[in-house]
Amino acid sequence: MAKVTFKIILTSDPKLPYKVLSVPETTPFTAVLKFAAEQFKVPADTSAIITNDGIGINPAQNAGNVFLKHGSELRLIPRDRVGHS
Amino acid sequence: MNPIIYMIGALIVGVVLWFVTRSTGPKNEPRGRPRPAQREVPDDAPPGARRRRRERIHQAVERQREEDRMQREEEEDQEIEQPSAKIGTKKQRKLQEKEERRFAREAQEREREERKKAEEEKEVQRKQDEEKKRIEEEKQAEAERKLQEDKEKREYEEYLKMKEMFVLEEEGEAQVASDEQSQNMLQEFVNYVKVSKVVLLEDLASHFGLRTQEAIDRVQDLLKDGILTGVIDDRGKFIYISTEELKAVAEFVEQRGRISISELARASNSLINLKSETTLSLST
Repeated sequence: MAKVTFKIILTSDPKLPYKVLSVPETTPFTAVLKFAAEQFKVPADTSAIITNDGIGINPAQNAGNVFLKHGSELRLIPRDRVGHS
Repeated sequence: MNPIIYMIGALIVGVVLWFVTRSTGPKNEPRGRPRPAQREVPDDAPPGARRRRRERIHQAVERQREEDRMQREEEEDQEIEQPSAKIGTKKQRKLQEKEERRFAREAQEREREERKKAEEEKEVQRKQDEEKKRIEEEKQAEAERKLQEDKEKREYEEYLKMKEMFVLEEEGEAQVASDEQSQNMLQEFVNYVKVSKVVLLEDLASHFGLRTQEAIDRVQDLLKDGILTGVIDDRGKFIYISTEELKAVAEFVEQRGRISISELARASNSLINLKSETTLSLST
């Protein structure tokens, strides 16, 4: 089973903590999002994952797809700030 | 003997008659009712006949009085209930109209009541239907909710199973670029390009934490301003050519006057140094 790694940075924290996760590539990305939110101790239903460029990632795909399309460096943001400049 | 009896009898009859006329006189006169004719008693009548006759007359008069009274009452009643000739056509018509209106009103009221009853029944029926519908909807909503809950529970369990495969490999805190570092970024950029000579634009971008397109734009702007001199390769590389090298190539072309591209390429290989200065310094 192939695994993909993501480095997810919590940008809402000024210290910019990051966590590197390794997940099987067939995992639905929603589970990855939930896991990352739990790790950072933020509510998962009000969080979203975006790329470093600020492009939103649709979590309705599996982790392998996300890795392919957007790379491994991602950011976790609270959903009330989606769309800020 | 007999004439005396006759005289006494006649006197008695006369007195009686006088009494009778006195008592019924004021009533009878205005009516002008025909009274039973007073017959003279025949001479050969039996002795008590006069008395009997008187009694009979008296009774007849009484009866007549009774009848008159009853008739009067009837007439009065009739006057109240039915229009008689004495009331007049106008009043008669009015009373008739009143009657008709009364009938019409009653009919209307009856109709209204029937309609109300029908409506009430309809209302009751409608309410019952609504109630039934509401109950059904509630049941449906309940079923949907349960379904939703089941789904969520299932998803959660699946998630827990998946979580076991997740691995947290590393964690830490990213370093934010300090102020001094960010001030000389452009200079560093240019220096990096100059030193590297041939550089992949994507590498350049990732080295400086820029997007690839941004790095390309920067390079193009620098080229336009003349801060950098070089060419962008169609394979995504940038080759920095210093001013001296450019001058050398220009001199070569001017010297030869007419030169083919392949010769120029061969000459450029020697004129332009494509190795980065770091590798040069390492080798020397």
